[in-house]
Amino acid sequence: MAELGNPLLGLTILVSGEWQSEPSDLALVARAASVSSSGFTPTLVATITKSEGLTLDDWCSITIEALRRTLNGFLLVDDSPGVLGDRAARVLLIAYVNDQGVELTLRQWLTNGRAAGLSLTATCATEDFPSFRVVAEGAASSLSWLEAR
Amino acid sequence: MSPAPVQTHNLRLDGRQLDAVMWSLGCPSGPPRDGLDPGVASELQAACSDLISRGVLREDGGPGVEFVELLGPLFAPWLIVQAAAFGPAGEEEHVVWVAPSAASAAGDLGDGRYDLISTTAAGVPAAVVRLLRLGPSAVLASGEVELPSRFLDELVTLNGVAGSALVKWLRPWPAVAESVSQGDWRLVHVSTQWAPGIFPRPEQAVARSSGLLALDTPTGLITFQPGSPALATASSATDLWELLIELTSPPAEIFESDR
Repeated sequence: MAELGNPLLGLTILVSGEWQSEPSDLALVARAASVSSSGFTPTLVATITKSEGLTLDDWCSITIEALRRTLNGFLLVDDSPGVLGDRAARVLLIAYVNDQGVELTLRQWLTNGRAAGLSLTATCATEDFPSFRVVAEGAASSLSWLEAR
Repeated sequence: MSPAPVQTHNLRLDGRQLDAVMWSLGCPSGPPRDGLDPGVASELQAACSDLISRGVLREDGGPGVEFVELLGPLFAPWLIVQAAAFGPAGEEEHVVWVAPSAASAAGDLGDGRYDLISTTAAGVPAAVVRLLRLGPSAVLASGEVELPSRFLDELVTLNGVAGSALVKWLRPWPAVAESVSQGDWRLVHVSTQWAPGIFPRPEQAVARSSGLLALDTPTGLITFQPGSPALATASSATDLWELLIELTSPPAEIFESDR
């Protein structure tokens, strides 16, 4: 396993050595080293968002509506409680179609910190989801967030 | 590049018209071309004549020019997916025909009519979720229960009385048992039938054709796996999504002859 991180954001995840991080000031971005037969490279993206005053349920509802408006063929498959790192989270499963016409499955964990929200978004071609799910769930359970004071 | 079209020309048909379309196109899930009762054949022929006059079918029995994309997958589908739900609230049975690069679904409207819509081959799991109105479900305590191996067949055939038969197997999930006792449940049955002609050995199609059976209630989702014994397992909508992808993804054997 390899630890990928973004020190500026205080985020790290554990993934297999077949994953590589991409430089970003705004997020922790990791991509599978190999492209799937679908032509879509599975990705993991962790971001920190200001969420002052919002409960986790409020933030989750806003996120779902934003995704419903912006994603082509949006389909909310699941929305359940879960864990991101060591924090209680909401976990969404959404299917949509990207601009190239590829059917994608997006799994997103959302949790609240003291003054910010943390999300981990795992996206893959729908046909790859059965094999990608364990990678995404491993990344979610390993996620560490040193929240700024 | 612009997004791939999800729908083109849609079509609303009653059951007889849908049978006539399948019969005319030689669809494997439709009435047989030969050996039909003369009365039934006459009714199908009359329905075909009506569909020809509407431009849905051509005189030679093929799809009308504006319906080639919608009806194309019914010609020689790789895969036929039957997606059914039944319980105290009624029954519905949808069908999806999947070709290598396109798919069409017949959505059961519940009043004897069907909506035919186009989708993509990779979009079949999403189409099944939409047709059956599946979605987020309550989370259950994990667990599984062993069932007699014949029980799953009985569940599918018992239909309306299956609820009382189910309750005694749901002890680990009292909220689900309560939902079933109150008649607030349905069984979801998705089955796949792969076309023998696409496999190097036709018998591989039978081995690959499979299905899933799930109990859907407001208080949680239970999936059933056949076997000796059969198993009832607490599941999530995400688990069901994964099963649907596995059921409808082209098996690797299909591509063996290309290697």
